[in-house]
Amino acid sequence: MKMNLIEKALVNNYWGRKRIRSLAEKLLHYVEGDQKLEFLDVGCGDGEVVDYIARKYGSRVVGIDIDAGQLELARKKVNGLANASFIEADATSLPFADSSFDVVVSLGVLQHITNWEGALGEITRVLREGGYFLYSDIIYPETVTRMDSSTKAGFGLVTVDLDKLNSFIKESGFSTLYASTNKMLVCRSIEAVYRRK
Amino acid sequence: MGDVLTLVEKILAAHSGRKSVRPGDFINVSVDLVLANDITAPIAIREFERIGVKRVFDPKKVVIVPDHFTPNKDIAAAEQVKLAREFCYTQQATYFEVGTMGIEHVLLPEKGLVLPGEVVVGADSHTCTYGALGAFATGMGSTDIAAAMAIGDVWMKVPATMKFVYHGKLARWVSGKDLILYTIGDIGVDGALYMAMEFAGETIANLSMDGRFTMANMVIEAGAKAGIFLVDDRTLDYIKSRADRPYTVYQPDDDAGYLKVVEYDASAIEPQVALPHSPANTVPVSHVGEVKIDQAVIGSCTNGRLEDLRIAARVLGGRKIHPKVRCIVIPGSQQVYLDALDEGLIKTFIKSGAVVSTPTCGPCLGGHMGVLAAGERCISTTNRNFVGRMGSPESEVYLANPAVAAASAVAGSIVGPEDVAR
Repeated sequence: MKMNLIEKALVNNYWGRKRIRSLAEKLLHYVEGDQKLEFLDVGCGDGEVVDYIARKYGSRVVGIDIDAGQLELARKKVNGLANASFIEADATSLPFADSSFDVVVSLGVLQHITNWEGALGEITRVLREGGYFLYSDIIYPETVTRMDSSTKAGFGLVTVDLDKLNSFIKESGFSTLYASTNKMLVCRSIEAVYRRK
Repeated sequence: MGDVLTLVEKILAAHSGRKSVRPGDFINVSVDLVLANDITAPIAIREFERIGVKRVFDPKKVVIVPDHFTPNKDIAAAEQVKLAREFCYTQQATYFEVGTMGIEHVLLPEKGLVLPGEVVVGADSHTCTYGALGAFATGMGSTDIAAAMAIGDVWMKVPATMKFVYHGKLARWVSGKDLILYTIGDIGVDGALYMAMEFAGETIANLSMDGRFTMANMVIEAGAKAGIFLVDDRTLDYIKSRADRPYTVYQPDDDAGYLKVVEYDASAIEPQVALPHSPANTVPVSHVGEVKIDQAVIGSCTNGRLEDLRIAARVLGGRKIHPKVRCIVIPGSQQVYLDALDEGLIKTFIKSGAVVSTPTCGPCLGGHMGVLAAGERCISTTNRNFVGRMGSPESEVYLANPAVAAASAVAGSIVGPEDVAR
């Protein structure tokens, strides 16, 4: 689901960009490889991370998002960089062949996708063997997501079940290079780097 | 939700006469051991006398270890030690004289003075070392220690617990030191501020006791109140011949309320080096670049145990210390020294051109036995590389494991053991 205006204001600002950039930087630390790596950002939003990776590594980076408005901002941001491109697409049905990318990044996105498990399946499908999945989300308790979905002004939040996520990661042949779950008031947050065997 | 407690919360609840405690609670904790050393004891003793009590709460539970500037390096040190010694004689508290003493955090576990489930407070920041035994151990100021010596109680705020899970098999030459340096590098020097760090995972289950002591020792470098390991067969094996009193093994509840859970793939970690001037400034040894060194120190409460000396000897065996490097090896206790002698390690060190010292904290804190001049660089198995820590404020300290320190001593610059040994 697309973000509403309030959430966009929370994300598309200086602090939001700085936060996501430093998180991406931290998680990218675990990725080994050279310029030839191909990156996909699932739910790239205003393209902050795509821009960062494209400039830092000079690698090919594709950003997908369901929100054309966000993609417009993203295209403006990368300002014609030849190695960055954007496609309007749904994370639960990625327009790519199997094993197309070496690194898939998805930061704070699954928490907005009702069929988040389907999106995870798609991410796994397009990832090459030995590829990396850089992931972060806020894990809202179900009481919060129920409340959120009962109001028109809701953020479209869903609860990513950590137990389900962990068993998916295990069963899909990922190994955990790094994972950190934090308590934040009533929520938890997770950031992780998984690698496909 | 019922009362689901972490390991540290269980120990603190039991020692405060409560069924349950929560992070943030202020509690009075009864202590099983109060520790001080030659630097901190004199201040504690003066405060103790000011309180006006005559006797310590339990002489068996008060220990003073003169280890920082001993054998006395100067008159001031001698006066400090004299005061501590006389206090222990008067109070019949436990005192380890030169000849029986060792570096406190190596010595106390070795002597069976700390057991699982106990609460230990010490006037030394690295008191947290005993977390390796499944005890709650924390450093405090001398005045708190004076009060603890008087009444056997301390007040504290219950820390929240962060859990660190390590997966996979460690690569060759990678040890507990590298795990903790890597972790501090990840979370920063305040990453666990006033928290308890609980270590778990199959890597930890396979880690030696000496490796666990090293890890617990350095939790304070991440700002932690305490570090703790679950008691397993290795722990029980370690204390079997040492424990002379009953103890309780606590287990954390399933689904205990961890503030944060961090997982690492430990098999991907290579030997780490903390560059000046912060223990969090860590990089893999292969990324250090060309750094010439003047001194290498192998020892301390972090890495002065038998396993550490064995590793150093494996690297130094049949090799020569670089002619421009002073390599100082300091066994952590008389027992470690004796065992190292029996195993021929001391001979290996001396033949390679290293000097072997009696147990002391010595150079780690710029005390004696290897203080640095301006512009000098030292690779050290100790725990702190702050500005001026080992001497001149213009010197530099690089922290590493014993294998890296030994290899660097041979090479004359910071290198990994693979570059020197097979």
